[in-house]
Amino acid sequence: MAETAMTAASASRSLAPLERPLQRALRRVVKRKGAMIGLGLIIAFILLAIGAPLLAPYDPIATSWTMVRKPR
Amino acid sequence: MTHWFGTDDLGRDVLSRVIFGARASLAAGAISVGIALSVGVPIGMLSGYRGGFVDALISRITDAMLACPFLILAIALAAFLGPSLGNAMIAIGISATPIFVRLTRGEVMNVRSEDYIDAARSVGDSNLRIALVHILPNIMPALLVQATLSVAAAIIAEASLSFLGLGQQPPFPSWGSMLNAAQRFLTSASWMAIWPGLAIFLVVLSFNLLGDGLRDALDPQNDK
Repeated sequence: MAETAMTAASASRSLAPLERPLQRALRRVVKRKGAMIGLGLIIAFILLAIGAPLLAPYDPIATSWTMVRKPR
Repeated sequence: MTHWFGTDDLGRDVLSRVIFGARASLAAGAISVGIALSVGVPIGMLSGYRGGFVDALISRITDAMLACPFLILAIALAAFLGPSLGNAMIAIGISATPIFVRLTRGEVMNVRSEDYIDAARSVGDSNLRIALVHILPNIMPALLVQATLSVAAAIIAEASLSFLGLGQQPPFPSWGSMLNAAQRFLTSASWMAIWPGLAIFLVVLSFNLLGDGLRDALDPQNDK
């Protein structure tokens, strides 16, 4: 039992330096909740920007004199 | 006829303008930081790698540019270039360049004294090859973190320039110019300011969160 734990530990220690820097960075950044929330919001805004013509309900530059400063 | 975010002083749909405004803001963030990276990193690498007179000259110019506050420099450049979104991006990019020059220079000087650079030189690698193959990948983490945080600053700068009328020109939407239009109606039509303001807040917060996370994750001294 203790032996297997020790071999597992030494195996992970000897394997760790083999991990590529990019993989290590990805693994470490994915663990961070704040960074992932930020990344999710950024991706959402990028999709919003790309899909703007499809998502926007109205023409953004069309004016309407009957709708001046109306909430909803 | 439902306008979820209301309409503005000319009867335009605020939701549609916030959605289209995301294009101006994100493009300004990405392109201006792209300009700063593509100008600043090569100059910084030259400065840090060469040393001597070239380094002294570049460093003094960088110091001079850093002496001006980022936003003031961007406003001055945008006013000089003329009001348009493209010129605002160029102005913000140039204003952000000295930060990248200095960061790159410092990182290159750190890496330059490593044993593997001596090893590369001893097997006959050219200076260009050492810079691109051995130094550049090793300074990437620092550049990536700075670039992410700079995108947030660039988006605020774009909103500020558009607020002042130096960025996106009417009638095309930008979060900054929407805030400018909304300030006259803050008491009577506050939704005009709330939604573009919230959009700027969320995007800038997101980039800062990602930048902070990347900095912690890429820090070799940090074990977690």
